[in-house]
Amino acid sequence: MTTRYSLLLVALWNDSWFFRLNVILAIVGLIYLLLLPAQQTTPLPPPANTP
Amino acid sequence: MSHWATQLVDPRLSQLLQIVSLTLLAWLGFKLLGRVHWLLAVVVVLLAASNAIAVWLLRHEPQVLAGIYSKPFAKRYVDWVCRCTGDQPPVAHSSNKPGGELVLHSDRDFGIAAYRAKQIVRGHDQVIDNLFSRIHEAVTLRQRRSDKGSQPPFASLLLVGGDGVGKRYLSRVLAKLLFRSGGVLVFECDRVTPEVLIGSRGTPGELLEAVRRQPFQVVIFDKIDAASAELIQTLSSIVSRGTYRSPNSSRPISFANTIIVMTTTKAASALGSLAQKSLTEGTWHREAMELVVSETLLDHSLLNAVSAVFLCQQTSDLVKAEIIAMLMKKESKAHGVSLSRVDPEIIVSQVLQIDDATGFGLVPHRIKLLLRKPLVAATQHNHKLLSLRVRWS
Repeated sequence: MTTRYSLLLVALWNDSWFFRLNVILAIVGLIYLLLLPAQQTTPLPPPANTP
Repeated sequence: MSHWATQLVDPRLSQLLQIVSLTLLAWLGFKLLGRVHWLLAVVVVLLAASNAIAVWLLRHEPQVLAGIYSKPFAKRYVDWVCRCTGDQPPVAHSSNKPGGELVLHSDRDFGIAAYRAKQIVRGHDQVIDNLFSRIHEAVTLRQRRSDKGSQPPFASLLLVGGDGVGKRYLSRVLAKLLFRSGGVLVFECDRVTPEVLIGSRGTPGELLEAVRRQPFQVVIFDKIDAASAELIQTLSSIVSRGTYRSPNSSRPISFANTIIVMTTTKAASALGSLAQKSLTEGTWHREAMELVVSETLLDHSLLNAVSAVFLCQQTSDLVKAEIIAMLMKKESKAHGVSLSRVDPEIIVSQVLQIDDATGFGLVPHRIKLLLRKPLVAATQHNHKLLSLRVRWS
């Protein structure tokens, strides 16, 4: 069953540019969103001698 | 150099390059969106995921998508996905059942539709009865068919008859009575080329694009005897197989839910003599085909795929008068005026102007000219009733 679905997936991937584009967008977007908290840097504390 | 060139055109490498460049572009795009607001990136991810799922369903589970497609809110979205992929919108099995795109189902439905068609298209009662009975047979067989794969069109009909007898009008009425959308496509075979119908690389064909968008249609090929050899070959492929692959897409367009009507004026007199004989349906079909082949030089492969040949004969003078009166009434009604009385002399003069060469082709135009001045006068004086009388001088 898994082989059948993977074959269908490969056929669709090769056949449709629209499918390829959307799969790439979804995967890249998901990775971006997962990495988003790590990208957000915490603000540095002010220097000690600041008045 | 040649080694690198070969590597560059290698499809695997080009696909890999495409994926890498798309990934980089997507990453940059998400970075930009993230700067505005991270929720925008979430929306794009959800949209992309739903697009990918929709394409999967369209190709592998069309019945699931057909269920969603029948909902008004999803129709536009699925249409948009289909336009992007070059696929036909999914056709549910229930489209051929009551409530679907096909309006006529039972014996009663077809009986009423034939009666209505006879009220609208005068003088072709026999043809209308046979036409509706043939389509009824096709619909019944389609409903019972277990294999839902590639199927030929509902019916491929050849209408033979002189100019202006109402072949095209009859086909239009058939479309309105049979399909909810009432879609009709007309192609003049002496003017169109196969490229116009099926398209070329980068340009969608008019026929394939129209049938892709709306699979339930009556497609009329007028003056089929004037079609080029390439056009005949294209048509016979569509009629016999029921599908055609566009040069722009790997997906075939299905004609399974269309009715193909081909018309010709040639062979009308020969078929007229044949119609005088009392022949069985099978003998009529075989002999009519032979006559059409000898008179029009049409290809056997196309005619073999035609399911029925109908002869639309010139109507009697009484029927012509009836049609003229109907057209006059319709024209007056379009301007908000009721036609209360028309002198018979006016109708007779119109009947006498109808010749065999043009038939009813010019009649609507002549009626418009005839009614122009009386309608202008009625509109100026705000009259709701109009009476046309002969002014004897």
